[in-house]
Amino acid sequence: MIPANLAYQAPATLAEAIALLAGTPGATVLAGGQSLIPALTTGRASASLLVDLRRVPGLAGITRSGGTLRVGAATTLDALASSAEVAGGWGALADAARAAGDAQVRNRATVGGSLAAGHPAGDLIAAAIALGGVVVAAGPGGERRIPGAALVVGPYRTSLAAGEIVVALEVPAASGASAYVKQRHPGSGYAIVGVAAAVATGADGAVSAVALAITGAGDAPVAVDGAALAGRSPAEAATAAPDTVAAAGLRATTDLAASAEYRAHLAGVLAGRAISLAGSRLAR
Amino acid sequence: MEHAARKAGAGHEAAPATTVDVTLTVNGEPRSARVEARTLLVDLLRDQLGLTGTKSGCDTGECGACTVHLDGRSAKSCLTLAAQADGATVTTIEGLAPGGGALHPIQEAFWKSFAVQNGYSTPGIVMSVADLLERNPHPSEPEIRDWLDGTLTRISGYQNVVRAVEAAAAAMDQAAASSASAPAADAGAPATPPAEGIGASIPTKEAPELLTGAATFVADLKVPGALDAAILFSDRAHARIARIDTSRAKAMPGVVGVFTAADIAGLMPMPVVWVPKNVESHFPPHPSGMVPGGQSLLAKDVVRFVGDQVAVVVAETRAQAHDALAAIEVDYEPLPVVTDAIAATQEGAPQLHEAAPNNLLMHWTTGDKDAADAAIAGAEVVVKHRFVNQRMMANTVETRGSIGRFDAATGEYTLWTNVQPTYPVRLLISLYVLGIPYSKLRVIVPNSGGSQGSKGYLYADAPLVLHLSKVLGRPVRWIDTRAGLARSTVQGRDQIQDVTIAGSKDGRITGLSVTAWSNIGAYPVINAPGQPTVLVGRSVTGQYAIEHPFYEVNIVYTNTVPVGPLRGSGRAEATYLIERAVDLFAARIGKDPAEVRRLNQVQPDQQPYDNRLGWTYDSGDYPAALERALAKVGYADLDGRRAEAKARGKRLGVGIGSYVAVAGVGPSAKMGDAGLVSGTWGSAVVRVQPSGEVTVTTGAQPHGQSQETTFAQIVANELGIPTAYVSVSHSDTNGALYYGQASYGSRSLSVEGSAVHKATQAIKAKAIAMVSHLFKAPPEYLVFENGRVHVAGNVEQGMTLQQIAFVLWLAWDLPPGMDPGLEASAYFDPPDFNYPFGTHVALVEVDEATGQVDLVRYVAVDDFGVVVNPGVVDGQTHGNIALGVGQALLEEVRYDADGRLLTDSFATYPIPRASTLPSFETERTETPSPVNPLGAKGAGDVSNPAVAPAVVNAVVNALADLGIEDIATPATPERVWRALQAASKGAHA
Repeated sequence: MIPANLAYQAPATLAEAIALLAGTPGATVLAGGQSLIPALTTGRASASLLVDLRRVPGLAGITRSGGTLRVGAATTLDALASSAEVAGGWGALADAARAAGDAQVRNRATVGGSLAAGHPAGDLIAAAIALGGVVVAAGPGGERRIPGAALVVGPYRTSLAAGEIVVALEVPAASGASAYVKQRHPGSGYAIVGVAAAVATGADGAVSAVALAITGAGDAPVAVDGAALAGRSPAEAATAAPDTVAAAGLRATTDLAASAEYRAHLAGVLAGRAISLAGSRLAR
Repeated sequence: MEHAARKAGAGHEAAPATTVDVTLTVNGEPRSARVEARTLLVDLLRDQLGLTGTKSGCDTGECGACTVHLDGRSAKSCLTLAAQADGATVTTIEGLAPGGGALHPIQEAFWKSFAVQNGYSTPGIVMSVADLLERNPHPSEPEIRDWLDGTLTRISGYQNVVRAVEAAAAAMDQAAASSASAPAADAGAPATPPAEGIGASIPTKEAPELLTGAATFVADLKVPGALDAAILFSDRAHARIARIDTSRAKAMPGVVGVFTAADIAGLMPMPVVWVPKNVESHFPPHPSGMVPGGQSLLAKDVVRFVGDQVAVVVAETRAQAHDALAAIEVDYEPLPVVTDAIAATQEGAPQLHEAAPNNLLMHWTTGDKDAADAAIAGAEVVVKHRFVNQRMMANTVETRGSIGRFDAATGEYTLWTNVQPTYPVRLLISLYVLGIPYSKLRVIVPNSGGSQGSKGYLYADAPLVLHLSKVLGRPVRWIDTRAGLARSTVQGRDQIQDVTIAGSKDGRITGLSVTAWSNIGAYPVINAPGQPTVLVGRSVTGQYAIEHPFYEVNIVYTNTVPVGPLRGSGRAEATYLIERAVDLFAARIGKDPAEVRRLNQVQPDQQPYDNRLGWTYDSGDYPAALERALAKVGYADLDGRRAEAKARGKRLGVGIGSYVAVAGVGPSAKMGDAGLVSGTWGSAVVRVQPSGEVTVTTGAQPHGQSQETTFAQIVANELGIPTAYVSVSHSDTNGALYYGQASYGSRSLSVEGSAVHKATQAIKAKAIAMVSHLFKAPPEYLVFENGRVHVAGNVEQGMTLQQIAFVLWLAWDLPPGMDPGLEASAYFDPPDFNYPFGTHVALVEVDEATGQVDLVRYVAVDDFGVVVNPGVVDGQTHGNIALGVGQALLEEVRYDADGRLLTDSFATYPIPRASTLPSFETERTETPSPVNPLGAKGAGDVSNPAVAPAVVNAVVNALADLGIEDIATPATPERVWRALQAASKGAHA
């Protein structure tokens, strides 16, 4: 049960929201609430004030400028998962949105909320990292662009400063194809391990670049350098992926859901599968 | 609204508001309310707006019972603050149908597809499905199952829900098509009305009110003036209570009282009514002197597990009661902890109860140990193995709850609680706990969500709320939380089994010896000792004619939540060990496990068969069910499928689970001999009212089994009338019955249903006697047929049941000695138990890289004797299979070394979701039981025992070529991967 002393405000502008957050110790942003509210209910998180963004205009929507995809923070995961444009160019992002939560949760959960939750097994953040995404945050000092890999710094901890609100996720145009696969925990639905892979190929069909991001394995989602996989066919890259992941020296964790050893193993296996899936999309 | 907007949206000039005024549109109506900022939408809907069709199951978004539509999309109302819904449009289950009493096509499809059992999760699922079909009018089965992953159901499985979604999609298509053209008259009505008697799959009478959210569960009851209670559970597994200070809690807002053991010193502890005979046992004492004791209502001096109840807060609201829990100060002096049954019996282990040295509640045996030992010593092949039947939780979507009301003016107590044993709870509370007159306590069980056996008890909360109501002068309500349920409610299974199976090289099993340790938790709950003794012990030979079986069990206290029956209870533990042991034996001698089963099964001509451990199987062709299941799955030729799976990196495995499960509790004398301090007969009152309507009161306690329908079918079948004329009531001790023994262990149809049958026979006899008198015709010339008594050979000359009931009511002209009225009361105490049986076959695919096990096909051939309503029974079978798959692959209660519970949510204790299961293929053979007039055998939980061994046998089969002989359950991906790793290391060594 959420403690009685919780307060609530739903400001009408982003500036007001930032001011409230910056000016109130213990204030937290409320977006869809799909991870925050159960965290408050169970006591994993606490807050003195929830600053609800539902009245703040202009935060939802998927737009494209140049090659860059911009996903507004208030865009629901369902909208992201349903977007043909996203699926076509940023497959990992669509996969991750589809793999997160369940249908009811995706109807309410937002992109900004998913990112700002700082979940060590977040799905979306893995796709964002692999795709070179940038988290756009607005705060008392104006807007700041945080590389995806720098967002989550530990379990439920992010590099967002006090008063900063995620306003969008920007993802550059992908030259190849990408995918996200996860081993889902049968209870929580979170990734025991999830891997996003972005694969680019040259004119000869060989892999020119692979970006990997692994979530769920450790305290925070991380990028893994896939440079060693270049020059192979996508199928060969997939086969070699476990070695690449092993060489990266993941700091996997043990908890009720799985051991570090198994997680490290899974990361390699799923990296191969993510590359394979991305590879199959390249062919199209 | 304006005020709300200002308040919620105002800037930083004022202190942030902890209350919010919200205005929203609910089911088309504008509604306003002042809520706390922390109030969840589900609580606004239920508590403040009175819309209790939306259920609460977990409060953390996992179960989906609270699903509503928020601005047109399905959403979990426990994951949304009420404040967030300001200005929103909300549709709840109450607002789904067009109104005027009609069902929405989705509700209609759920009804007709038997997709509703206890119905607790139904409203949320229906709302979720409405969203699915709006955006995807023609979903495929995988799409449906994926979508359903957001809503859990524990009892029924998902199969009939999937069928219902398909049916709803088709119906909505048709409706769209017909509204586009001309309205079709009665398009859906069948040409002829379906038969309604025995064997007819008629949609259940219970479903419509469950589908519309009108049905009332305990948490939905509106009891005027009720206070809310919250219970402080010990967070230590074993400690001495040095000090409790409740003064801060008492001063908290809304708190009316805080109570500890010192405040209820006059109340007796919980009784235990299953006390095995001729065995040295070490129960805690009970002041009644009539039965042993159990747990104190509130812990005195020492806490022995993490759910021991330390204090109870009563406050004006549930939130206030929970707020105050945190203000209770308890100083604990830690005591050493033991959670493992074998460890608890060792010298020097922490001791839980003075009465029980080495924590041994009892040691119990059945069978001839010397003969079994000799058979094993002389056998060509001996296989020994330790199996662990892991601890599980019922983890029902509905938690438990009790509401107590004491009426000072009349001295009467009323208890509303969601348990199975309505009358036994009344008896036990009045006699053994509160010491109040039996006649002054009324127990009512409202609609009850799932139980899986976990609600088959007297729990301490029930007498507590009654007592506190008397003390405080107001009704007191206690509704558990999800985390509370994991501590307050019995857990299941938890048995370590050392098994020795012996036989000849050609496959004949001659000896079986089992030494088991059953972890019973910190206290014996009322009937728990029955499970590890007779229910497991007498069942370990399974379907096989084993000459020399023996079973012994050590029942052990540990610092864990008490253990009691869980669906499949006892028979599940027994079936697991014998079905796995048979596979191990087959592997050892290099024979097909199906062949070993064929060689050892009890043959039809051996029935009734004495299994030498205490059961006498009643009837059945076990080999026929086995062959049918094997044929259905194509057992003889799975090579193609194996190769195809291999090409995808998957190992295919096939596994068999054959079972025979005692059911139909029971013959009272035999149960008494087994130690149960209670009769176990069935009882019924059948009345043909002066209007001609038939009312039945049954001792069964339906909680999803649809006895309101199936018992009406029995009566309708006997009397030749429509089921619509028959209504069935139950679960209220102020009803017409002397006493009802409740529903558990698959007893209701064969025992309580037989009592209904017997009473209906008496009704027929009296009706014939009356007509005989009026017509001056000898009874042997009269026939009871189609709701009438008529002269044989002359259908025209007769009277309807309605007319007969009316003249019996008038009583103007009765034969000598006949009483007025047309009613009959009947009891049925069966001469013996009945023994449903069957064979299940599972096909799994094991991912070689990740260890993930996918159940890809599941065939069940069951024999439940005569089936009254196949639609109902299929649904129960789906639920049994789902639970067994959970046991095999997903579920395990875990404690840390300090005895703290690690699995107290759906996130940490996974139960099967729709997408983890395939559609099961269920078939039946039908061997009437000779021990009851219906020929019925149990069905509700009996097929569960086959499932876990079938699935695990399949997993092991998939890995057998690597030399893997066993896998611990649940066979999680990591466990399977580790087995694969160990095998490949072994191969390289």
